[in-house]
Amino acid sequence: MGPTERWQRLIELLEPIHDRAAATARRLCRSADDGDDLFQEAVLRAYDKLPALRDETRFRPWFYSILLTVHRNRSRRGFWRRFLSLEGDDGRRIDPVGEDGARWEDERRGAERVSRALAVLPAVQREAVVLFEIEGFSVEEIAAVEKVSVSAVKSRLARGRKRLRRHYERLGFCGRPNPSAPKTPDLGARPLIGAQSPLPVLGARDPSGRARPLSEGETS
Amino acid sequence: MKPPQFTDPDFPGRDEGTPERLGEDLRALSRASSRDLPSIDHTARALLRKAQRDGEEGMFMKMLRPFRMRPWLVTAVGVTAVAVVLLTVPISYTRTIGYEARVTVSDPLPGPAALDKIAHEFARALDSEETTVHAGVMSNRATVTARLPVTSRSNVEGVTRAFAAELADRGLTVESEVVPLTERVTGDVYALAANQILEIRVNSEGKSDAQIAEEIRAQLAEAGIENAFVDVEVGDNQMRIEMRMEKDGSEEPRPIRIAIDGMEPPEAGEGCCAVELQIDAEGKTPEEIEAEIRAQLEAMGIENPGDIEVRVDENGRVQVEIYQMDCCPDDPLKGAASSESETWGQVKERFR
Repeated sequence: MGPTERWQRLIELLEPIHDRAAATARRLCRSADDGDDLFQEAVLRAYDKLPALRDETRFRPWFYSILLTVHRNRSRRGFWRRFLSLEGDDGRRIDPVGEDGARWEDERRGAERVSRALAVLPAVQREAVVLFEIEGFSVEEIAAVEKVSVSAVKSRLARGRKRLRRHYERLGFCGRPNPSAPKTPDLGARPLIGAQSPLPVLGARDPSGRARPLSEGETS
Repeated sequence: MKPPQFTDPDFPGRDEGTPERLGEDLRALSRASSRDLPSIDHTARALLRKAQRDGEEGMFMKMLRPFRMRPWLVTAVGVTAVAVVLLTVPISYTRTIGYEARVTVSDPLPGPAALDKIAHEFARALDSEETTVHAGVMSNRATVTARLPVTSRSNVEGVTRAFAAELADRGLTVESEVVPLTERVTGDVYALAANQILEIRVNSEGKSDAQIAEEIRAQLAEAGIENAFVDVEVGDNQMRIEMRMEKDGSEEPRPIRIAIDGMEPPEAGEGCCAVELQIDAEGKTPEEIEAEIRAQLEAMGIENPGDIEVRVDENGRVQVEIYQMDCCPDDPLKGAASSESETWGQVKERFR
C-alpha cells in the first residue's frame, strides 16, 4: 500500500469515529488546542502504524489505544516542560457556546473547573474517568483499549473519582458522601452522565443496563 | 429536563450529598468539547500542512526537534552546561592573604639604631617565622611595618596594641593599626567556596578554657558571627569545643574549620601518632614483654604509658593491649586514641 492509498484508507476508517475521538482528545487535555494537537499526533501515529492493523473492524479500539498512548507520552513531556519549555502555552481554553450570557458563563466556568480537576489526575486515571464518565465506554472496553485488566481499570476509575471528589470538596461544591453507601464501588453501574443524561451527545445503554457509546446517528 | 440519577455508590445520589456540581461540570465539558470540532477534512489538511512545514523547516529547527520531543533532554543538557560553566569558567574574587601591622612613632623621632631595635622587638613580639619587618622614616614619622601570613587578626591586633603600649610607656608617641592584605584572584566556583571557609586559629598555650573560648568567640565576631556560644573544656587527653550560633536568615552559615595550636582536631578513629617498638618476644614471659615495652616507651619519653596487658594464648600467640597511652609527649594536643588493642601479629605487621 502506497502512502496515498494508506492515507486515504486511514481517512475512510477514521471518518465514523472522527468527531468522537477528536472530542475525547479535547476532554483529556486542558485546552481545545492541546486536544486538537493530541488528536493530530494520534492520527499521524495511526498513519505510521496502519500496515500493522490486521482486523479493520477493530479500528476504533485500535485508534483509541494509540490516542491514549500519545496522551500518556505528552503528559510525561508536560512534566519536563515545567522546568524548561521550548514552547509557549497559548492554548485557548474549552469555551462552550450558549444561548444566553448567564448560561454560557456557567457552562464555561463548569467546563473550566472540571477540566482543571481532570488535569490534576494522573494520565491513566484521567483516561479512565473521561472514557467511562463522558464517553460511555464500559470497564471492559476501557481495559481492552488501555491493554490492562478490568480490575486495573476499576482501580484507576475509583481512585480518579475519589480525587475528583476531593478536589470538588476542597472547592466547597460537594456534600458529604453517603455513609450508608457500600465501600466497594460498583463500577458496572452507569456513568455519571450517559444513557439517562438529558444531554444527547453522550453514551447510551444496552438492554442489560450497561453503558455503551452512541452509534452513528443515534441520540440518547 | 430530568436530572440524571446517580446510583453509583462512589458518587451517591443528590439527596445524599451528591457531588451534583461535578456531574454538571462533566456534562458542561462534554458539551463544550463537542462543539466546533474540526472536521475530518480540516484535520487532514492540517496534517498535510504540518508535513509540508516539517519538510521545509530549516536545519536549526530540525536540530531542535529531538529536544522538543524530549523535554527531559533539554533539562539534562541545561543542568550539565551550567555545572560545566560553574566549574571551568574562571571567576574573579578577593581573598585575604595576610595582615600588615604598622607601628608609627612620631615624637621623639627615633634614630636609625633605635628604629632598628624597635623593628627587631616588633618581629619578636609577633613571633612568626614568616613575618617580614620593614622600618623607614618619612615626614618626621618612623614606621615599622610587619607583614604576616593569614592568621588570627585579633591576635595580631592584640600583639600590635600591646607593643604600641609598651613603646608609649617609654615616652614615645605611638600609633598602631592592622590592615588586611588582599589580592584579587581568579578561580572556579569550587575555589571560591573553599575560600569561604571560616578558619579559626587558636594558640592554647598557657590559656585557660575560658580564654580559649573567648578567643574563638572574638574570631567568630570578627568574621561577622556575633553572640556565638562557645564552651571549651580541656581534659587530660582531649579538648572539647562546643559552639552554637544563630543562623542569619539571609545567608547560609559559613563552614568553620578550627585549628588549635596549628593542628586540626583528628578525624574520628584517627590517632595522633604511632610509635614503633622493636620487641623480641621469643621465649619471654608476658611480664618480661611488658617490662620491655615500658622500657622502650620510657626511652622514647613516654613516662606514663598507662596499663599494658600482655597475654599469650593457647597457640603461643602474644597479644598486647595498651590503654590510655599518651603517645605524643612533645605534642601539646593530646589526641591519642583512648584504647588500642592489637594482636602480636598485627603489632609486628605494623612495625615491619
